[in-house]
Amino acid sequence: METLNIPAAEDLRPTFATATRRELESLVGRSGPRFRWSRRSAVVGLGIGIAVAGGGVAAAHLAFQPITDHASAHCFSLDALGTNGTTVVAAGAPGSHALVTNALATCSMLWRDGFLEVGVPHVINVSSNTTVHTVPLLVVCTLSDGTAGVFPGDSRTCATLGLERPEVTPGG
Amino acid sequence: MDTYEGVPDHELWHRAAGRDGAAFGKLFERHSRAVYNHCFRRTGKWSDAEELTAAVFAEAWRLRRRTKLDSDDILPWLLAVANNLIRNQSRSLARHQKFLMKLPAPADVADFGDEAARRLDSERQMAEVLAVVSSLRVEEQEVLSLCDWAELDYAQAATALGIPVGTVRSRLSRARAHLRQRLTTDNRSSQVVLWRVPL
Repeated sequence: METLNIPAAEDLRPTFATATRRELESLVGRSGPRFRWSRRSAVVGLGIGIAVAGGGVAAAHLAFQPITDHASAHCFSLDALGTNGTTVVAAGAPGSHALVTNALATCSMLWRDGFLEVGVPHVINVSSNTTVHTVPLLVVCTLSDGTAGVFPGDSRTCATLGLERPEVTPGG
Repeated sequence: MDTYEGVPDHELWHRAAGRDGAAFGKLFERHSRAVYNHCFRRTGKWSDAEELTAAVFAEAWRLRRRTKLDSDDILPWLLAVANNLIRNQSRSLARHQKFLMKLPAPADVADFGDEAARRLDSERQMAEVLAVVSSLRVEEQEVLSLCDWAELDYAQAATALGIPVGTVRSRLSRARAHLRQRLTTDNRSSQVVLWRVPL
């Protein structure tokens, strides 16, 4: 009996696979405008953010709500609404209207630098930010005031909290 | 530690849409081998398959705003993207030329090492298969490559091709019948078994 023999499956050349993955990650990471975050701006943003975090954040059941207010974003340290975590604002020149254009990246930076930690509701006073901390899975939801709220959680977290996810541009 | 280990495809896709490059990199790590071998089996050239694989992921990213993933498994959709690129290969690759230029050149075909010899052998083998399969309509080739070679089930193939499951079944059945008839005519085989597909 004769059959058509399909050649065995092969792996991509490692050099090609590595280079392609790197270029794709770069392509995805640089698509669209991004908030340029520096360690200095993190400290400035936190300083302002903690001052306003006490205002709390209200939630509402909404059919759909895009992020409309980019002046600030809230990085939650718990998968719950309230005053946990901190509000971040974009650092800019005095009187300017700098915007938080990528809330996910901004909040990831706070987790990576150890300012936020799973299960700890308040912001941690980090004396040295040379240690790189593990960033948990984060998800962006639209808060009732139109700002972005970044929670530790997955795709179900927003619905659990009664919030909607922004479409396509959760960084917004 | 791999933060994205065990995270389902649709979650990675959503994170990638939020400009998380590492999430998209994880999707590439997870599915590039399957895409690569699918492209090879459709084109018969490893070097073409390499370029196409990179282009498939670049194209997937380009299409992100138009794409809503309903399934946990992104692979069927990636293979569908591959099929669309293969249909018009030169134009598709030209669209991503700038991106492809940043990648390593195809493996040196003048290399006479064992690796190169093995790849040439498999290209000859695949050319033989494609010579027979090319007698089918493109739609039949696509369903055959997804179901028989990439081993998608009917539902996954239907999702990938955007056609009803019943159409996948009938198209596949017709394609296999044509091939058996063709093999018989060519005096190669009158047996039921069409393929031997190694893992």
